[in-house]
Amino acid sequence: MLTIKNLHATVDGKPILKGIDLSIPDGEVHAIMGPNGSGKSTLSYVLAGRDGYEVTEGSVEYNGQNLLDLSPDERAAAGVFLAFQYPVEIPGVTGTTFLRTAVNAVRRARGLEEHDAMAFVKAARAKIKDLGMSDEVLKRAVNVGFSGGEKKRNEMLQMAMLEPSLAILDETDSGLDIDALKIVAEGVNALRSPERSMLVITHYQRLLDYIVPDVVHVLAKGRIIKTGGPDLAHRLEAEGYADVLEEAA
Amino acid sequence: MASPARKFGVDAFRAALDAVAAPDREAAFARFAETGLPHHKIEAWKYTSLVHLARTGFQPAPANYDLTGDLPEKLEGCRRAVFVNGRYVQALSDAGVAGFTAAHEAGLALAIGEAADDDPMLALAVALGADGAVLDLADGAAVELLYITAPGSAAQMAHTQNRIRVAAGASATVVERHMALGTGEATLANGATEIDLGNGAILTHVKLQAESQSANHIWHHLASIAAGARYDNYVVSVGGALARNRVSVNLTGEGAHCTLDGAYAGRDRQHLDHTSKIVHAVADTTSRQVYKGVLDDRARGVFQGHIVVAQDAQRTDGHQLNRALMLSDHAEIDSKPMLEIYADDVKCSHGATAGDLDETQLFYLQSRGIPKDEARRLLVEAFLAETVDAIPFEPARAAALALVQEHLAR
Repeated sequence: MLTIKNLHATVDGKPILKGIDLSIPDGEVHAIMGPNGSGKSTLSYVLAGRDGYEVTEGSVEYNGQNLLDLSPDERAAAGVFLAFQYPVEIPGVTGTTFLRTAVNAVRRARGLEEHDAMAFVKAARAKIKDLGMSDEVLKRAVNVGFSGGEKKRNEMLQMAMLEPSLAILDETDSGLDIDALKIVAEGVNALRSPERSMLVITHYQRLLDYIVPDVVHVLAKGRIIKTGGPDLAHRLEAEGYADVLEEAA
Repeated sequence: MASPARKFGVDAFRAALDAVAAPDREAAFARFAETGLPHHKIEAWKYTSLVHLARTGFQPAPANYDLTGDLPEKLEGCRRAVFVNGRYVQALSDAGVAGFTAAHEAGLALAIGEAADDDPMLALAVALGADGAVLDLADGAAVELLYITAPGSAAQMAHTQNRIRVAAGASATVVERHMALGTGEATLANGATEIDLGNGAILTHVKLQAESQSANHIWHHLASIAAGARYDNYVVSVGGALARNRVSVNLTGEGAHCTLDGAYAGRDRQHLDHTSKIVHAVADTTSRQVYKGVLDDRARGVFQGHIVVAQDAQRTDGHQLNRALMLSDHAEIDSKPMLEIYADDVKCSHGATAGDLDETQLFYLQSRGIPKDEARRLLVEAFLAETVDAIPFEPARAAALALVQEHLAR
């Protein structure tokens, strides 16, 4: 599914990722944990193709394609989805316009027929219900005036509608209370399938109680310094990052 | 650079006057001739000079015309009056919408009045005016004034003078639409609309400007708002090589309010000017202005917003905002707010911003699979939507949205 080799990236000329090697097979959920400033968000933006995040070395192969050759929208069409740590507010664009434009753009790129208004609303309403949201999300401007929890749920709604094959969740747990966290995790778990891989980026182990990963990586100073099973997350929670960082040093 | 001592266009426009010879027109023309075409040295025209129009050789539009293309669909719920090249066309209009003579006695007052001090084009509109709408609106009235410019094989002009009165306590709607049908040489549409709102009257006044790329559109709305009355003016301006929408409002009675909202979008070398002046003449009056523009290529936007608060106009509440989205390095916006406050207990503010699309929003949309061009269009449309969505009269709002979308899709 995804193979990252020796990935180096800079932001404003400053090296942030310094040689990441990571491979996620089909259907697996990998977690990346790490202290603040370790490069977690940079990795997610590099994978999604954000301007200003410059790859200086290494490669990212995704389903046999060079992912780095694709524009952000082409990556989305190819099945990459990034759930933002800070979902963006878009005044003046309603949820319906946004979601429908996105879903149809992706469907078009994938060679599928576009949804008409009826089919779209029907599909959207079903997913909205699953996520315990209100239909209001379709009428309101995207993320404008949403609470932290509403924004994160809206990310899950977009993910469910776009049906990605690789979902990257960047600090999806931040700003969520425990009830919202459970709903979001259920939404994620419902999407787990042998054809879909996930990269769950988080600072805390809490989220991983609900989305249990197959593999846990520890990212520090732009490199993956340790890889293990779900128990690694528990150890980090109990002991903090200091010990693991020291071990790796 | 024009020297104030020189006058432009007086001779060029005199020939047209001779064709319609009438004594009060002479007086109006004399007022125009005092200044000639407005130029940069007149403060209200600092960024929009018209002296180049003297060279175009505009002739009065001929009475006969060929309409190529269909008129836009009539706005639902409105009675429509149609003008082609400044002349009322009965065959295309609903019966009995209004009187259609330029009221020259009143026109003269306008042409020689204070408002004409810095607007010689007002006097020219009266001096050379063809047909104008005279509307006395009762409660619930909704009128569409459709102005069609049908360009010809020579440069042509049409001048217009309108009057709109809304009776005390009545609530009415007027939608002005300005558009071109067909192509041809340069055109000039110069008009003035006088608006008079009685006590407690409400007027929703929408102007949709979609003239051709070879059009010059110069229009001035002058409104006098009595106690407790409310004047809401919405302008959507996407057409014209040069388009100037000027609004002057006198809030003359306590509790009077006006809202001036504008949405404009320019490309190529379009020059789009919005100039407003609101006079809070008495206490307890309020005003709100939001003008939002999108400028691409070498387009130039001008916003001049002048708020005057008279000495006795205590508790005035007046706010003004101009925001411009610059889509090209060669686009330009000149924004000049001006607060002139003589009372001491007032709340007034102004703000202006200019910038490119938000990169984070653009990336967010792209990351959801929306191609960059489509994402940009979506964001630009959303930027203008704030103003367009504020238009309370649904048929006008829909027509405005269509104009914006059509412009952005080109």
